[in-house]
Amino acid sequence: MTLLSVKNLRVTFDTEAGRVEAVRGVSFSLGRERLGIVGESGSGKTMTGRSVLRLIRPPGRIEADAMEFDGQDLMKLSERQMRALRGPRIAMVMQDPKYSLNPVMKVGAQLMEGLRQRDRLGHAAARAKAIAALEAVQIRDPARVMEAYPHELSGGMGQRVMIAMMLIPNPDLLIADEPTSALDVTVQAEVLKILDGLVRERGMGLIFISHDLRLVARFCDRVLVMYKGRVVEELAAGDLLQAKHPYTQGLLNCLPRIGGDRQPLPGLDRNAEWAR
Amino acid sequence: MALIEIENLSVVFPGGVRAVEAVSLSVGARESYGLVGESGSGKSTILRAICGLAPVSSGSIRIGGEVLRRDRSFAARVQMVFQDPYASLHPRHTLDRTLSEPLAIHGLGDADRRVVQALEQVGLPASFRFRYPHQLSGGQRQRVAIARALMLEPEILLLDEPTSALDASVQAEVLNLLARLRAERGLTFLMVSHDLAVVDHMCDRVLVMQHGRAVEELPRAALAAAQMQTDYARSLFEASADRML
Repeated sequence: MTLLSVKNLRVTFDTEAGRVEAVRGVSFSLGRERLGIVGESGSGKTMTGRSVLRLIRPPGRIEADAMEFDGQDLMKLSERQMRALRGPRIAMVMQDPKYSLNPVMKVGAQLMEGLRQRDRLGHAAARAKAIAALEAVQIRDPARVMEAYPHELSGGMGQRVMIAMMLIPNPDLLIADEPTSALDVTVQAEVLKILDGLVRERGMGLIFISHDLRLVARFCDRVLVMYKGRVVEELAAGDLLQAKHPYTQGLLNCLPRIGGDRQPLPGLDRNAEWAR
Repeated sequence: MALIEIENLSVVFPGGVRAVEAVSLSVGARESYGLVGESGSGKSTILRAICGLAPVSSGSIRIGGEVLRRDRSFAARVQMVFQDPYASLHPRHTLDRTLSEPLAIHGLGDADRRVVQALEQVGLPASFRFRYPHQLSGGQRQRVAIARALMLEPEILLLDEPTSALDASVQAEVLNLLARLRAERGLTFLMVSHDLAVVDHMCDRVLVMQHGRAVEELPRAALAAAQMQTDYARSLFEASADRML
């Protein structure tokens, strides 16, 4: 079943220096599965994710032939209707906890805000639910973290707090922008297990934006490879490490390997033709 | 004789957090030594203790056989490159000012030539000299941070996750740059990373850390061949198994 379908998505910024096309005609559809989007920074993967939530501020413009989520055309919804979707239906975990958590508000208050405002829970019930959400992302001492300010947390903890916050309303679609890049491998594995469980058990759709190709290859079902605002290759995640497109191959080859030969790593070839 | 000798180093922060507990290690001249472990394992704190950015509660740090004195001569021998190039460069200083400040402090002349040469060494065009950090990409900024660390021609570079904020392709460029500079200048590296593939690519020996303690030291060959003795080192390796591909 298709949860989200995007046809010919374009994101354009009209700047003083001229028009910048961040996303140029991206189409994909997503069922209850794990879709990876990979590419270098500036390839448009984050902008694609944000467009689904219509979180692009002027002078940025979103255009699409169609962007349908669960039968609703996201391009035609009012701002009020969009707001009702954001959070309970479609949630996004942003890349950097440093900039996405409120620095002057305790973590607990931030986690409880939505529960109290949106779900009208009482203080005690909201607190219990927030603590449970922190435990679900493997935070060992949730009571302490509730009382902490974001600057008192490590990057990995902040990242998990954001994931906990986004999962509280049980969204149908989660857009995760580099959700595990601040985490070390062991914690990363735990967070991936949580996301995986949500896809399998609750049938959540997941858009997983990452620059870590090996991670996407083993975690996702399907992968879009983006370059300069276009999808240059779409393939099953299991085939990613045997990708045919020279850009994808280049992204793989520039990674160091355990037991590699320690020769200088090959640079990445870029060819503007690929993005035509 | 080892160039960097750390014996029973402990770092306890005010408030009682024990970040590093009785860690010993020694790094030979021109060696590249890696520290790996999860966040909070104390690997970065060791680098910071060497630089004087974290308190040495007990134990000793010797550089070239001498007990550490943190004066100007120390800065000329040991320099550090930090993880986040967005935070480690002064946002309101041009590259010229960032790179010439250590020269002024140490009374080295010929700043003009040295700054231009430093930019060239790290592969940045001379036209970048009067730019500000915000006008550069992350990879370019990290090149500036490396250039700054090399201004005083130190023997030792302390590298704290130097590429983890960078894209794969940019990471490759910066790792190649570091490897080239090490070969050309005979540098000694003490490098922290959570990416075993990066450490394996760059380092001759690796120390695995957990909860502030040294767990196991591995030569590079043992890492690649998965010949670790401790369960923790093995679990870290297994979690990184895809880095073999």
